[in-house]
This record gives sequence, structure tokens and C-alpha cells, in this order.
Amino acid sequence: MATLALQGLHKRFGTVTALDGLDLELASGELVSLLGPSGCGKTTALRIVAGFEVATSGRVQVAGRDVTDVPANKRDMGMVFQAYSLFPNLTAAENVEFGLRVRRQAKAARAAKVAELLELVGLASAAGRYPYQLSGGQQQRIALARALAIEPSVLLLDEPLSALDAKVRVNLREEIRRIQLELGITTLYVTHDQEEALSISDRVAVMSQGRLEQVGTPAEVYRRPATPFVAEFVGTVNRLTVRVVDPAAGIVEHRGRRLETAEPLSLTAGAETRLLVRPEALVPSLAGADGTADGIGGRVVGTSFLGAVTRLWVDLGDGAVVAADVQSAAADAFTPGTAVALSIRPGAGRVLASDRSEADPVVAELPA
Amino acid sequence: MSAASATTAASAELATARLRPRRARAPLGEGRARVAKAVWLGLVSLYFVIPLAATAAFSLEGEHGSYTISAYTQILSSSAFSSAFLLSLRLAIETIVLAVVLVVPTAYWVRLRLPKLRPVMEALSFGPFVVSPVVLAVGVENVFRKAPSWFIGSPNILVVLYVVLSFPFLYRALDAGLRAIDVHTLTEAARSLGAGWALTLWRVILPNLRTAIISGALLAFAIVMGEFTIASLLLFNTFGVYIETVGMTAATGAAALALISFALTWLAMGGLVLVLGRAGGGKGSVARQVQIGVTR
Repeated sequence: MATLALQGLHKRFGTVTALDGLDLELASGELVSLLGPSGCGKTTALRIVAGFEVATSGRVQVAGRDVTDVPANKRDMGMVFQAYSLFPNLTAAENVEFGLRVRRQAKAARAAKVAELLELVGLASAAGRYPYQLSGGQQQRIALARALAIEPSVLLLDEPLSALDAKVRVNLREEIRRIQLELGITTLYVTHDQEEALSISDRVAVMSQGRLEQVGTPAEVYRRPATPFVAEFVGTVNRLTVRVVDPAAGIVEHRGRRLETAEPLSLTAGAETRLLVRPEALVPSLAGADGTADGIGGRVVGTSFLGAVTRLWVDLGDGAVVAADVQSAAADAFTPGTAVALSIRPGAGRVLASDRSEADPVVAELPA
Repeated sequence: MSAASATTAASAELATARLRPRRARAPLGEGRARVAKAVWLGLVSLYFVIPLAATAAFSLEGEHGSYTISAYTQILSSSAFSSAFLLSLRLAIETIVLAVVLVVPTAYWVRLRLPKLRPVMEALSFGPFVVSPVVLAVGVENVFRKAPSWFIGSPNILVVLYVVLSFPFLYRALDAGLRAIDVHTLTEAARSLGAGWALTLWRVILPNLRTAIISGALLAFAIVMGEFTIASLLLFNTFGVYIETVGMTAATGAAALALISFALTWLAMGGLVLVLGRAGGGKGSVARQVQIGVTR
């Protein structure tokens, strides 16, 4: 399988800059997700790779070969689209066979390949059905089989699950990952769904305003966000205003309470900054009977049941509200109005040198 | 009966009533609706059938209140009739072929790549309604004055004019058809699988425009078969001109001819639907989806 390289891609639509110098390399057989909000340029990048858009500047290379000026139909890339894209006048099998017919493969070879791929996506029994006779999930499976039938050097997936309901989405994303691993095909996956990106990717490339904010493994992106944008976009994060006490030891102070951060700080002692803490790293406990608390004191103002965990919304007393997760089995004790003490798991807080945001102190939104 | 069993029976009745909600009055309502539909359809049918029946009765009238089919036998045995009909049939087929070849790729490309030109195309499609056929015929004759005689001196010139007359109908039908499919995604899907532009148009777009093409082609066919003004001005004896000539010379013959042309045109249209329908491809076309009410 081939490597894919995006080098200094710029794309402007009139006065709007959609891509502002995108550099990204995919190793052979790797699945990389382009993750970002709507309008961040991720789909534009994918369409440039596919050959459907022309970059204002920059190059695209596949296995070391420059394909920037190669037409889309000569690029040898399979693509699955966000919208249902099966040809309505062809059956599932004929759709899968389409690319093979274009390549003038022998009839027997085509039939064998179609059967193999329909089997791979678990829809061998649907070979004779037309797209309108298939569910959305089935259509996307057939679209995946069709894209794979031509044995592309690179597979491009443009939010292929966004039109599907939640359960089908989870099943199909696992299916996509299984097939990708089985075939070892280099894959660029575009999504705005962080859970989707984190769950199936070898690496995640977080984009904002046409630029890459961070590229890393899902764990790296989640645990060690490189920028405030990544911290906010990937998962939920609380921001606490803190003062640096001991930069070398990574010790900060919040309301007179010393907190340990994940790593040494590049700030000077006494500097004010933001400590980023995930809700699952904030551990709530019931405050003492006298209202005193061994931790950051606050009062529960709301709860959100999320399944295995329940999210508590805790008012720290000055109008600042933070999110803290507690196991749902133990959540009954934390009803609205309960006084709680929040402690931070050692090393779970993270300070970003570049964090200049005025948002204080919580990113998470309190539900209405 | 104990209180407990009475309660159980009442519960069962309530449950049964819940299982058949709103069914009691439904047959009456449905029956009325069916009668209303039938009455309405009957009235509409009469609107079309009465003139046809009257024409048929008149076409069969002979001398002194007798009935005869001589008007029909005379027309059908006339070489002028067959030559005029075959000429118009040929022109209709050529018009449809040329119009489809010109308009389908244009409408597709405008939809795909030049959406800003859509208002221009719409304005152009009003042209044949704004410019009268007389002006069109005179204008074309002047423009093509120096054209080779095989073109200017033969009915072939009519094909060019009929394509112009058919353009609004075919373009609007195609535009509606193109709106019904995701042209961009289908095109990109075909391109990503290695198809060039021609193959994409032929194998992916065209089959999914089958219904639109048939609609536009039928309208074009009807226009050509009945067109009189341009053919008459340019001195060609098409079917429309022949009908007019017979109408001026034989009253019952004109009525018979009207019915014959009606039947032949419908037969030809049926043939057209069959041919284009088969050429259009599989059962999964958008038209088929619409027929079965898929609303995904």
C-alpha cells in the first residue's frame, strides 16, 4: 500500500481561505482522521486529494508520485461520500462492478471480485437489490465495497457515517476499521465527530481555520492537547485560573490550594495561567457536615445522565461552573444543592503555554 | 358474573377497541371518496371523449344520413397521406435525437459546473414562446440562405427549427430530472471509479434522466407531428400541412384524418416510450423510485 503526502496545501475560494498551508503525511496502511468543526477545511483537503478541487498551491503525492495535476479519474483512489452515492439505476453488485468495468476487467474476474467484496461488507445476499431497496447503512457498505473493488492505492472517506443513525454509525465505523486493517489500505477519513475519529484512527489530525492544530494518536490528542482549540474541541474541558508556584515541579495554585500538573511548566513563578482539567479528572466528594471541604469547594447546580457516568455541574461560588464526572451508580448522592469538594487526579491537569483565552473558567456548557 | 371477571371483560373490550381504532367509519368514508373520484374522472373523461366521439360520428357520415368508412379508406390509401406522415415521423425522430444530443450534455454541464448560467438558460428557453414561428421561419431562411442546398432545400432545415421549438420542453424536463438526482455526488463517484466524462454521462447520468428525456421527447414529438406554420412557410408538405389541406377540401375527410393522426401519434408515442424506456436501463432509476414512493 502507498503513502500519502499533502504538502503545503493552500486553497482560496475568492477571499475565503479554506486551507492555509496544510502538511500531512500518512504512512502506508495507516488510517488518519481529519477532525474539525464545519468549515475548517477538512473536506476541502480531502477533495483536493481526490482531485475534485484544485489547490491554489501545494502538492499531493501518492507513494512518492506527484498526482497534483492528475485528473480525478486517473488518481486510483477509492472514495466513499457523505451523501448516498450509489448509482440508482444499478444493483448493488453492478455498483460494485462499475469501476472494474471501467477498467475493462474480464467478466469472470469481475464477478469473483464483486462476490468477494460483497462478502467482505456482509451484504452478499443484497447483490441484486437496487439502492432504493437498501437501508442507509447498507448503501454505505456497498459504497465502501465499490470504492475498494478497484483496489485503490488510497481510500478516502468523507464523513461516510454522518447520515446514519447512532447505532448503525457505531457498528459501521467498527466495520470500516476492521476492513481497513484487514486490507491494510492507507486511509484518509474526514469527520467532525470526535468519538468517531478517536475510536478508529491510528492518528488524528485536528484542523481549525484551514490549519492543522495537532496531529497525534487519539490518546495523545485527548490527553495532551497541543492548543486550547484541541483541548476544547476534543472532549470536554474545564479551565481553572491558576497561579504558577513551582514551574520546574509543575505546581500551580488555585484559590490557595496547590495542584500538581502533568509536566514541568515553561512559565515563571507567579504567572497567571489556565489549568485544563477533563471532567473525569475532577473527583467530587461530599463536603463535610459543616460545609467545609477538602478540595475545591462548590455546590452542585445540575446533573446530566450520560449512561455509565453522570456529569455534575458544580458552581465554584463566584459564578464559575465546572463539569465533573461521577459513576452513575454513585450519582444519587450528588443532587442539585449538595455541597461538594472537587479534587484533581494527580498529574491530570494541563497548562498550555499558548492559552490566552479569556474564557473563564469552564468550557463546558451547562445544559438548560 | 363477578366483579373481577366484569373488569376483565371490560378491559378486554377496551383493548380490542384500541386495536381497531377509527376502522368503524373508515369504509363509509373510503366509499364516498371512491365514488367522488370516479365521478370526477368520468367528467374529465367526457371532456375529452365527447369531441372525439362527435368527430368520429361526423367522419362516418355519408349521403342522406347513411354511414360509411369511405373517408378513412380514401385517406389511408392516399400516397400523399403516407408520405406526409412518414416525413413528419422522420423529422420528429431526427429532432428528438438532435435535441437530446445537444440539450442533455448542456443541461448537465450547466447544473454541474455553470450554475450561474441557469437563469440564462431559463430565459433562452422562453425564446420559442416569445418569437413567433413565422418570424423564426423567415429569420432562419435568411440566416441559412448561403447554406448548401441539401440543407436549405430539403426538409432537413425543419429539424433545426423544430429543435429550437422543442428546446423549452426538453430543457425544462431535463432540469427537473437533474434536480431529482444528486448530480454532483454521482458524477464524483463515477469519476473516482475511473470513469471519464463521456462514460459518466452515458452510464450514470443518462439512465437516471430517462423519465425526463421521455417526457421532453414526447412533447417534442407532438410538436413536430402537428407543426404547420413553419413547414407551410418553407413549402414542405409535412403531416400538419397535409391535415390543413384536407381540412380545406373535404369536411368528413378532415375529421377522419384528425382521428387517424390522433391514433397514429399515440401509437408512435407508445413506441417511443418503449424504445427510450428500454434504452434507459434498469429498474432502479429515479423514476422507478418515485413510482414506488421512496422518500429517503
